[in-house]
Amino acid sequence: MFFYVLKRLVIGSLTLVVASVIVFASVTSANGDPRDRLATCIDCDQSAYDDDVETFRLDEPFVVQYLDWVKRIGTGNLEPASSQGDQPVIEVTFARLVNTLWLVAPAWVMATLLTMYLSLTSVSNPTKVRSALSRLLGIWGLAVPAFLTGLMLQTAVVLVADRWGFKPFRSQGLKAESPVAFISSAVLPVTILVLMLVSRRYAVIRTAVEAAFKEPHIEAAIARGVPRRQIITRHIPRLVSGPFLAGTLSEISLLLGGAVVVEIVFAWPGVGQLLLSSLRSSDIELSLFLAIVPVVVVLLSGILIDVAQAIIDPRIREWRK
Amino acid sequence: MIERTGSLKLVAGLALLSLLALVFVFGPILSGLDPTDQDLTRIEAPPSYQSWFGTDELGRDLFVRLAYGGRQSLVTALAAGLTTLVVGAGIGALAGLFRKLDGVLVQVVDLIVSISNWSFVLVVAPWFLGIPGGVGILFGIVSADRIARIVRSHIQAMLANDVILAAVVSGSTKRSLFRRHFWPRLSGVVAAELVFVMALSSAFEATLGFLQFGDKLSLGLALHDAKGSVTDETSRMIIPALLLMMILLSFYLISRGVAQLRPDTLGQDHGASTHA
Repeated sequence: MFFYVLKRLVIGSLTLVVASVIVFASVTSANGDPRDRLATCIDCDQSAYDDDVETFRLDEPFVVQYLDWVKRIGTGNLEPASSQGDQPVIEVTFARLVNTLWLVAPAWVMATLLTMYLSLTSVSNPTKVRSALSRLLGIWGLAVPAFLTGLMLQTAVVLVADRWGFKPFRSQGLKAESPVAFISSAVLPVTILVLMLVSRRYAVIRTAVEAAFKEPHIEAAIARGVPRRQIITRHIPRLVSGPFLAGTLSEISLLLGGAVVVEIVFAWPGVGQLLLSSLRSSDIELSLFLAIVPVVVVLLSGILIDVAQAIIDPRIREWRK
Repeated sequence: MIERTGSLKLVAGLALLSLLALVFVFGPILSGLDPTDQDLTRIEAPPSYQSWFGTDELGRDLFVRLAYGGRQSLVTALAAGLTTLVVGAGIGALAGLFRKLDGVLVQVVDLIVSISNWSFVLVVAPWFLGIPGGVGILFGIVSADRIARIVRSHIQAMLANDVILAAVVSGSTKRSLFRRHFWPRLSGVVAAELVFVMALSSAFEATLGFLQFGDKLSLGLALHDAKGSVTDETSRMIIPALLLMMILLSFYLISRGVAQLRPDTLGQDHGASTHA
């Protein structure tokens, strides 16, 4: 197990190097130049221009610029975020990340419970309504992109609100003055995220639950007269955890992108919105940081998930020995 | 029974898609207007004989703009399908056929997984926007891991098959193995998955457009503009939304139809069952 983790870490860091070169090259060459902001800066002069050349080593070759950035990240000495009033990059990101997590964490928990409930009930007790629901979820998840679902829901609520005279939208994130105001502004974005996650997962988890019921030891347990409740709450979740954890990996990257779309539709001040605004104002330092962090997190969580799978599922542990 | 619903879905999907393609290709030609020509004397005009869906806040023809957005959507899907076929199925087939390459190629797939997230894609997007169908190429690359995994696992499972072993023993080359044994059994799964990726790429293109990070003429951008327009935003949102949903629905139907007509040799129902 130890050597397995070590090997994964080595390969992971090689992957990180390749990914970081791609990220650095694309941010610096395709998303503008840090000096672009000087075009709209009124009290900047030649010294500001020279400063930018100095800090980002713009007169040096690509390799030097890249290594300089790696050093800045490694030592934690990042340049301030120019598009955010020169606040420190890490602080800005962290503040926005908290906002995003307030959307994403409840959505994730709700989506997990809902998926498990839907797939367990639809497999152990299939009815017409349930199978129609599963088909609808499958089509909806694919044929309607999240931003469109968001727009539709928003428009519908606005139409109703116009008629009844109440205003559900006050997107202040954590700055909302009361818990009620916070919840009322979070309801719609969380709903979209839950719908998105459930429709992504449902088909996979349902198939896994179906397969789990056919496992010999489950059939043996049923034959032995183990109560159904116990099978559903104890044995099945263990078997389903594999595909579930594997799916979680791709969800982490989806959710870390800050559920960009949902944040834009509902004007939620999260990481996704921060990334878009930093790219638009060619704030190189912030864009680089926001683009590389998800890569690191996904690589690390990939290793963690593999280890977790080995701990939960004895078969995988045997296989890796 | 399965055969019938399968072909029904396939035919319905293909019919809807060709109808849309016809409208997108010939609509602007019949209308004779340009999507970027501004006519400031006719701002936000209601539908008329000349401009079928009316005009926007700069006097540009809404129908022609939407048709160009639809073209963009289909071109993106085509580019994404081709890219993911070449990159994904290529990696999968090489990794499955050649043991020595397997280790390296699995790492390449892991690299793709680790970078396929919104932040990365948004950062890289400008590189691809200049090329026709560029968004599709980008999406085809970042979602190539799906098809690669499927092809690789199928080939590895088939390699243990007695028929294949007999062919190997009697001296078949890897190339003829692939052409005569693997490809006929893989083609259904690969086709279903391919169409599925095409649908996702159209959705992705619209989303990029909506975030104003995509092409200049996109159904997503049309939705964004409609949201920002002062007058009557709901009615301006309905048509692009419907068009987008119809494009995606037709891809979904085709993918499901293919998956049902050519079921997976491993007995799993891939295409459209796992989501990106």
